Amino acid sequence: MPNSTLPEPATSHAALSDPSPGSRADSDADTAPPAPAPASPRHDRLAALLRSAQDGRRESLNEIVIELSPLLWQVARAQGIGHEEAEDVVQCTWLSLLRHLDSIHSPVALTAWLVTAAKREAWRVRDAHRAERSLDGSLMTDVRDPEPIPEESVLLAERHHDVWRAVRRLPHRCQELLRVVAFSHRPDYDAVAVALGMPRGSIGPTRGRCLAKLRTLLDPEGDPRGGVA
Amino acid sequence: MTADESAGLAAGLLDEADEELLRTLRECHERLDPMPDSVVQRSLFALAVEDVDAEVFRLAEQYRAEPAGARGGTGTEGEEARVVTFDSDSLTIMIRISQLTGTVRIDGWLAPPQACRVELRTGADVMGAAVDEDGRFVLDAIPRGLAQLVVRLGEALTGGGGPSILTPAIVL
Repeated sequence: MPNSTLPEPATSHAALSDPSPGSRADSDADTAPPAPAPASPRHDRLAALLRSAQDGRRESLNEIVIELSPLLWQVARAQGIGHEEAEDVVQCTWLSLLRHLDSIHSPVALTAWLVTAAKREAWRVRDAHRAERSLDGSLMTDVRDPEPIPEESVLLAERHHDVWRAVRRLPHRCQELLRVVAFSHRPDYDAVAVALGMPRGSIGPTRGRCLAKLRTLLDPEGDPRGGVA
Repeated sequence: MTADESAGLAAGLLDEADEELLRTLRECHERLDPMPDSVVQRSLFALAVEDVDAEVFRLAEQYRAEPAGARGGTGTEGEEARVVTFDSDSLTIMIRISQLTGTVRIDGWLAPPQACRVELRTGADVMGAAVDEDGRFVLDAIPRGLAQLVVRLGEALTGGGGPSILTPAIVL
């Protein structure tokens, strides 16, 4: 289905700052604001890779792909699509980025753009397959379990098992948010939550509620905002 | 304000125990639903294309086709075939992928039909074919493995200049 709407993540606040060292000598350096203190080594590295990729260096783009694909995989899978479809979603997200790379000015904005795009790609796939499945039962990609749990007790240690069981009792929205945030880095939490469609202004409390609920499930006696070890 | 600070303000509710929970949750997902290596491999393959300003074809539908012999039309001895449809904002491309002995054949249809050119990037090289006025094209003797189709519009006569549309990397 044609869809010309391109992802436009609401990341204006994130895009305002690009806290990378002003190490480049090209024309942008003249107009860029003075670089604030580095946010983190990872952030600086991503910022450098982003600029390098914008200059056309594919190996830098490749490094970004390696770094951020696990996050996009989780975004796609959290929408309830199968493995093959999630692979396509991640790929198409990267291919779409090629066209938009130049308009993205910070690592936070990059992450937000990618999360938004991956979620929309996943929705598109999910909706298309739903429509299709009502017509034809012979699809090859018939994996539909949104949250397969392969032998979780074998794969997970005890502590992990407890957390996992508790998470699965959370509302779906909380599960999705925590799943994706868990694969993000702290400076990106805000932008990632917005990109997932959490209303602006309620992000902190929303995230707080999800985590607080989780902590209550794990320790019903404890103070959900207190220091649970 | 740095991105870190702005995130920090909104993330003020998070403490070390929250971070620890998120780490544990991440490990759960990594164990239970690990990202296959092929995700990155295929993405890197697809991104190695030259066209940076291309539209993207998205996988719309995929199903096993009846054996070619049963249809009697294509004249291949393909034991196994599948039909994959991709949509872009402006075009639909349907390809029938037939597994022959050792190689692969693609019969494609582009809609709305128009004469142009397709290229198939494989690991080894780039194969090209003309798309006729009915939107049909054939690529034959394709090595198995990863491949990506690039439709170049407006190239039927001039050999260059038109917009291009990319598919994701697919396994042939």
